[in-house]
Amino acid sequence: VSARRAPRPASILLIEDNPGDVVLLQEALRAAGARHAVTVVPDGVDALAYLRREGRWSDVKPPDLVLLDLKLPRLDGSEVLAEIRRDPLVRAVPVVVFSSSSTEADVKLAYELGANCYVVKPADLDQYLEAVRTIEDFWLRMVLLPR
Amino acid sequence: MASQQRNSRSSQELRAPAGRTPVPRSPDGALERLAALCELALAATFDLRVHEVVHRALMQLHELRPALRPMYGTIDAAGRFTVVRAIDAEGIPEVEGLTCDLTAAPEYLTALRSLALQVVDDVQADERLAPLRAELEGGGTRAFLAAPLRHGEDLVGLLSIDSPQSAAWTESDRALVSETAATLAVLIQDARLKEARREEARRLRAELDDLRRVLGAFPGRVWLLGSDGGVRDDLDRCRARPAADGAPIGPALCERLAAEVPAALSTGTASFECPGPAGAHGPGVLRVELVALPDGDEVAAFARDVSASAAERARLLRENGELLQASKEFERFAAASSHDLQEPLRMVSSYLQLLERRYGGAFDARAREYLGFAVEGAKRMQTLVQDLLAYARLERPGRRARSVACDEALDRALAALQARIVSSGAVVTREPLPVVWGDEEQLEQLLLQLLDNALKFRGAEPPRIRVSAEPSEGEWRFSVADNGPGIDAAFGERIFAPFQRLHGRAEGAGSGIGLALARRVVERHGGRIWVESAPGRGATFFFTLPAGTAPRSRGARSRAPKP
Repeated sequence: VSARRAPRPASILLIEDNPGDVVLLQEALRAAGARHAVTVVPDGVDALAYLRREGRWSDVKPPDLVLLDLKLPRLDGSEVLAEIRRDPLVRAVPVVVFSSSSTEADVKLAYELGANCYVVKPADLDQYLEAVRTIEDFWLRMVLLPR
Repeated sequence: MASQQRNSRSSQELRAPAGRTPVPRSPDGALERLAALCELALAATFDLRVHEVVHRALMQLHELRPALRPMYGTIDAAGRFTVVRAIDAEGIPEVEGLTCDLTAAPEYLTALRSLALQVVDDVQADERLAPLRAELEGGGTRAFLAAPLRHGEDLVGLLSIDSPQSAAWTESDRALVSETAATLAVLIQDARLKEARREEARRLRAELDDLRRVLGAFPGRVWLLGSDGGVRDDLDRCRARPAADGAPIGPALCERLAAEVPAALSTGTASFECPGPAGAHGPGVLRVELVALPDGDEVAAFARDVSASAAERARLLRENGELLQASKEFERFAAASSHDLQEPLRMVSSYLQLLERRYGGAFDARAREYLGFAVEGAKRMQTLVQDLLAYARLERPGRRARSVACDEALDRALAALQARIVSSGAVVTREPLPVVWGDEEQLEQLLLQLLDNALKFRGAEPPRIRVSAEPSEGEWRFSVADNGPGIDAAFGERIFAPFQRLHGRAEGAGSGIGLALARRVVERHGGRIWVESAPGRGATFFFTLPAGTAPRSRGARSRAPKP
């Protein structure tokens, strides 16, 4: 594909509380042949702190992409999404909602709150790997992201 | 002879009180006549029936002229004479109801219609009577005096005295018959009027009685209201049974009546509910119906204690709300729990697969088999949870409803099953399907489930499936028929229950929710679903959907946004 750029290491913020999913995603990225810096925060409050470079994240770079689970402790995924879109500092960051919920209401709310896309975590391993590969391919290779 | 007659039974009966001084006889009989007429006139003071008045008149004629036969009869417009009563020489009433056609003697009839007293000294000498002569003489009449009775200008009756011999009627005889006839005419008219009045009173009383009973049976109050809403009459005295609550109208109700009566007067009716006296059912509710009375400015008010039904209504509303709430909660719960179940399941199946892929080489055959069972189990559980979620989420068509071309829904269902249709060698035949009102996705799901079922439960032959629909009494009856092994009737309804499986854990067997889902779709669309089948003879699933399209108020394609 001509539009595809050479892979460059990007920084991904994975907001996910399930260690199983964290490992699975990392496995999937590895299987996709990508070498990205993945930072994992296990809940919504930490996620916002990271994005706003507060506390221990005072000197992190803003992420190139946010992968957001919806079911999170402390601050729910949709609330995190709303906060991201409210905050002028981080509102430009693309957010991919990566959730196991296919509930119509969840999907609709996510888009209303400004999600860039909504991907349901597939139950089948191969489909899961394919989903992650596609996300990576699209968001980190094909599209132009703000700098 | 006259004195003998006076002492007869009937004369005593008529000449009460007994022991009255006999009227002295005058040479021309005028005094007796006067006395008799006076006495006859007295009949008017009693409530006598017509035939009693007639009887009295005849008996008085009999007393005054004992040897003769007095008779009274009616004459109708056609000239037919009918004997009402006759008294023989013994004072005994003769057979009544004899008739005689006076048109046979037209001259005589014309004479009668002139309302003049007819004096016949000898029937044989009177040529007018020639046609009636045989009849008269057969009845023992040789001479008679006949006085016509009139009503207005019309001849209505005849009072006569007969003699078996020819007679020379005296002035006194003539006066007696004429005067008696004149008096009798008045008395008959009077008796008829009284009778009509009695009849009218009886009828009114019966009507009133019916009304009173009906009013008494009304389980509430009835009032007659003026145009200002004030009570003109509470009608309580008109009730056969008193009202359960006879309390006067309170000030609140008074005000309400005054406010509602103008509406009733302008539109004909009005109704409202207002607080009433509290009862066994809790707070009292009074329902008042107002009906404007024709030709006037009055209104009838029917007030009824509806506390019981109001309480019942409130209870039903409450229970309905609770049920709806419970149903919504269940749906939320089912959705949430199946979602929550999916998470760990995904972990189990993903990691089992990962394990197999990454470390499969290190396992021996048995370990790989075990792993295979675990993966399979996890997948089955996933299907189950997803189907359960789909089942729980199945909403009433409601706001998602629109006109659905079932042909298109079938197209999509067949497309979704294309691979399996091809691989099984199935032949699907279809007839045109109607457009119905419903939820497109659900109807597609319904057809999909039934087709899936037909493909799944097949015999040795390639499946042959036929989809059709026909109109039936205001609804459409769809059918999906297959040539599979069929279903034992003993399973009946159970095949539509969730998780009910009639077959073993065959390859490709579903979660047992497919037909339950189908039934839920059909029932939520107001239809019925059933199966007709016999083992070895295939199965035909029928379902009905209401015919016709949407209520007009909804735009066919409008989808209201979610609240």
